[in-house]
Amino acid sequence: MKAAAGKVAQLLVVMFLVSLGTFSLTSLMPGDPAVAILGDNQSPEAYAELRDKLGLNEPLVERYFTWLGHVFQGDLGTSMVPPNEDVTSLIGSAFAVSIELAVLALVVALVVSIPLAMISARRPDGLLDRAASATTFGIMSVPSFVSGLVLIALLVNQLHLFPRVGWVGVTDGLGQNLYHAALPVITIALLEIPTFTRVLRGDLVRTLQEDFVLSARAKGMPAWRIMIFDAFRPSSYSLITVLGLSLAQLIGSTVIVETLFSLPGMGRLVVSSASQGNITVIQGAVLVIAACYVLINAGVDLMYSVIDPRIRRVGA
Amino acid sequence: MAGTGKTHLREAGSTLLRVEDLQVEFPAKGGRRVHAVSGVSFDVAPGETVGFVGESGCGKSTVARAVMHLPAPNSGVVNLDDTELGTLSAKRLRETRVAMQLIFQDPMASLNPRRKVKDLVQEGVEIWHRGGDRHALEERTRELLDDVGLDSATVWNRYPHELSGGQCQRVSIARALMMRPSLLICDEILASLDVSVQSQMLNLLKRTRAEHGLAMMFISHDLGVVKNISDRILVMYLGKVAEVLEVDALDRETVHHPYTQLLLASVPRVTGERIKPSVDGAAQDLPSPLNPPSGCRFRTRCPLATDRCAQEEPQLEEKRPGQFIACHHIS
Amino acid sequence: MSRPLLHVRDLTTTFTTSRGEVVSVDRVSFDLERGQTLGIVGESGSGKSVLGRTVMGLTSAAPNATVTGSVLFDGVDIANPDKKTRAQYLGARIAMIFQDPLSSLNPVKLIGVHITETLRRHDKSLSRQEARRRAIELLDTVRIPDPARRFGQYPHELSGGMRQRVGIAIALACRPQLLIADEPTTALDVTVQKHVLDLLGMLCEEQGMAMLLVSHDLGVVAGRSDKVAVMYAGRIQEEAVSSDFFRHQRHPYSQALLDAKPHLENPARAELVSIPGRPPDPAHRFPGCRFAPRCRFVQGRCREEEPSLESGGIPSHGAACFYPLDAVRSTQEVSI
Ligand SMILES: Nc1ncnc2c1ncn2[C@@H]1O[C@H](COP(=O)(O)OP(=O)(O)OP(=O)(O)O)[C@@H](O)[C@H]1O
Ligand SMILES: Nc1ncnc2c1ncn2[C@@H]1O[C@H](COP(=O)(O)OP(=O)(O)O)[C@@H](O)[C@H]1O
Ligand code: SF4
Ligand code: SF4
Ligand SMILES: [Mg+2]
Ligand SMILES: [Mg+2]
Repeated sequence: MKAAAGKVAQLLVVMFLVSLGTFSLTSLMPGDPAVAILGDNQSPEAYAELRDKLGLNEPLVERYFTWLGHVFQGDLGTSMVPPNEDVTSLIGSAFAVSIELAVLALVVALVVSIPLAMISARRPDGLLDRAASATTFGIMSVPSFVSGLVLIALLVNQLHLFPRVGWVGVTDGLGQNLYHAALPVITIALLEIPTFTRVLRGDLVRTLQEDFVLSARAKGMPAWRIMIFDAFRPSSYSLITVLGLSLAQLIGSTVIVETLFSLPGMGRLVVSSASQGNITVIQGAVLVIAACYVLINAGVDLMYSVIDPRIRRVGA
Repeated sequence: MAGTGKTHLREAGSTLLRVEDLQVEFPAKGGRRVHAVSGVSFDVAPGETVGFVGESGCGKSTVARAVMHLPAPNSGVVNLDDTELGTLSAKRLRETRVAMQLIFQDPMASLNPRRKVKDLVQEGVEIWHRGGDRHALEERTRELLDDVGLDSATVWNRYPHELSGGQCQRVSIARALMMRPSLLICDEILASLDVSVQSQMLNLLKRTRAEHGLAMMFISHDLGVVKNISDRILVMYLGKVAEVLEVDALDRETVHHPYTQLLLASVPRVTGERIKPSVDGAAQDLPSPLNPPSGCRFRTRCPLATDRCAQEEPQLEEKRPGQFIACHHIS
Repeated sequence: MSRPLLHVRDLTTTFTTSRGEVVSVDRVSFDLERGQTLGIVGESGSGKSVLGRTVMGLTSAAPNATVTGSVLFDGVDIANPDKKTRAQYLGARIAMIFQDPLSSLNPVKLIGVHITETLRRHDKSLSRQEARRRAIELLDTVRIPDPARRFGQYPHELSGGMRQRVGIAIALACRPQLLIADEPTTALDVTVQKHVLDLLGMLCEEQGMAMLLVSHDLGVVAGRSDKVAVMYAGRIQEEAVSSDFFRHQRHPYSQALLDAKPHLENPARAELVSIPGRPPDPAHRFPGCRFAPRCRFVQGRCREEEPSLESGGIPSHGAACFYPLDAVRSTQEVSI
């Protein structure tokens, strides 16, 4: 209990530092937001008026706390670029798209790579293992825009299985939503499958050499049972680490895939805002992404202790 | 009184190493402390070998590390050649420590896998005497490698993974001898070796110790091995000294501390007749060093324990010439 | 006479490795009667563990292993078992205990689950409740204090001796007829070693269980076995009834092994007669006696011809040696 409280306190401190970093980073960015918003052929008075309106003339620390106060109320400000939408809802809808893509892609990747890794690890360097290794290596070397284009050519243009581009939210029907999500999800999953498979296979091979696996065999347990009930859990630490990293990364940076399939996700939001100097949006997006990193890391730590009783007793 | 007495210590002038009231604690969870070593005293005369026995977790390795001041003990005095290590500056301590060399159990793990045998043996000296005579250094390295029963020409450019466990231990010994120590501390160095290699190593250690005039602290859980190589033996139990004795008294007939008795009775007899298995009650584990028993620490497992043992800590007393026992009920 | 429980003939286990064919167990034959204990002793790499695992039918599953010869368990050949035989025998009629009690338990599984899963695997009708009750009973049988609490703990929360007792409890779960104990006490303190050996001896007695007691230490086997077999470089070099064997070793290797060990009974500081050299590389076999390069009594014939257990000339005390040590030597204070 005490340890859990410590963990939460630690999380809060990290979050505070993240917000501070986010704020000062974007505030110290070169260029004048007023110029970015109004264009560069306005009168100096107009710029000054806008700066005043945006609160840019206040001291930095004061601005930070004002901003933080708003953040706590869920208000990330308004977009600096017309039509000056509410940043919170702007990010909210983009985030929903990104997180759905990321989670679905990871689930698909896991569903494929866990059995694949188990089959490979069953006979290391056997025929299946080598075939799987060659395939994953092949996939790994293909950049996502290439595999995305190939998928489009094949599944959309040839077989007409999926829509080419666009996004339909869950609110407009789960079926349509999944139908539109399928291609990008497969594209991202392809990117992750090789890593997941290799990481898990390596750990499984090592675990299968442990004495406790031998002792499970000596009890008359069948091979598949040993693989799933004895070897998998102690072999999943690296997989969980990689999974956490992938999730965090996918939320903010699937720009290529989002662009390819014209999806309104976080990646595209950040890129377009950056090119427009839309500081409030960038600030909000960076804050949300960083918060995801922190939370996911905490989640990964939690998973470790769920898996391994040795960590559990030390930590809790 | 924290320790179990010092009556067994000899005159200060006659010893190479003199350790008094050594105490080592480690912080544990919840602000508790692991009482790993609680008041251990002993001395080692020049050229003498003192054997340390006791069950795993009783603090043998911790004593070894505390003697080296790696790290320094929580309290206690370590005198090497009349120099008190605790009073030295960090730099002087590092210089003085060279006179004591520590060899560990795991032969592979204690050698850097990316260095060749010749470099492994020489590296200690290179740190201390930079720019010495290269030729003389090589000469001495070859000599020592041959001394420990390795063919210097063959192993010269090999890496540790190309050697067997016994050969790795030989390299460790050569490497330690390179520093011209006066005290060699061997922590379970035979435990992972085969019987045939063990006997080769025991004979080698005895020869080397004579040739180099070495004193040794020899830690082992194997009473037969300790009896073979030691002059004096220290029996440890849960961070304390239970008994100190001359090696010749280590047999099944002499009256010992009840714990020594238990250890001796556990050593298998080499016999063809079936031993009647006796399983009386649940076996007793070593109590937790987080919360050691009051009075005599052995009382939870001792067949002779009385109320007095729970109240009063027994001190080492000379029960027979050369045999010191810390027990209320052994005379 | 009824047939022995275990009848092993010419058992050979070969591994195909990058360094060539490694014959780890070479034409090993022995019989084990019901309720009896056979001690198998040899230095590291002599093939003891591979032998134990092959008898269990565990090596034949390895992709690079070949097993020839026969292992008749109660008349059924289990050297190369099919899935069904394996499931029927392993863990139920034949069980195994391992050297390292920590690494042979799954770190993420409760102590109790290790036992109940064996019970339920071999008796599908057993309810969860019943399995739990039986598991606690078994923990109690192996003298684990407070068994109900231990049931819900993880392996790392137990001491080494406790863990090995758990290993024994798992092995005993289905009342096997044969127990293969591979160095069951090597990782333990002498005091704990004695308890574990006593416990095994008592359980064998009570349950009429036969045991293969594997160790690198003749002392562990002494007094705990009915027969002894000494292994060197994959072959059994000497085999005899324990009382004969410890009175008098006939093979030079067996005797050297006893002489090399500093026994408690020896006088302090005794010079040890060590065996020079190292065991041969299993990937490079040579003709003749395998111990010849290290043997004090080697002669011309030893380097040309390979001795068998019959070479010693006394069927009841086999010694794979052309010149067995038959004159009882005076240096044998150690054996009683
Ligand atoms: N899976 C394997 N593949 C290749 N060689 C193997 C394999 N398992 C064992 N061996 C070899 O078989 C020989 C005997 O090994 P084994 O493990 O039985 O020895 P041991 O007597 O039990 O030794 P230790 O006391 O070290 O456990 C060794 O040379 C070993 O290298
Ligand atoms: N770094 C450490 N932190 C906490 N406890 C320790 C540490 N090192 C040793 N101990 C404890 O000190 C006691 C003595 O350990 P050690 O000297 O290693 O035993 P031995 O060498 O006799 O096996 C044990 O209870 C051990 O758990
Ligand atoms: S003092 Fe008491 S408890 Fe301790 S060893 Fe002696 S008799 Fe046993
Ligand atoms: S056969 Fe010859 S070499 Fe082999 S053990 Fe006997 S005497 Fe020695
Ligand atoms: Mg130690
Ligand atoms: Mg083995």
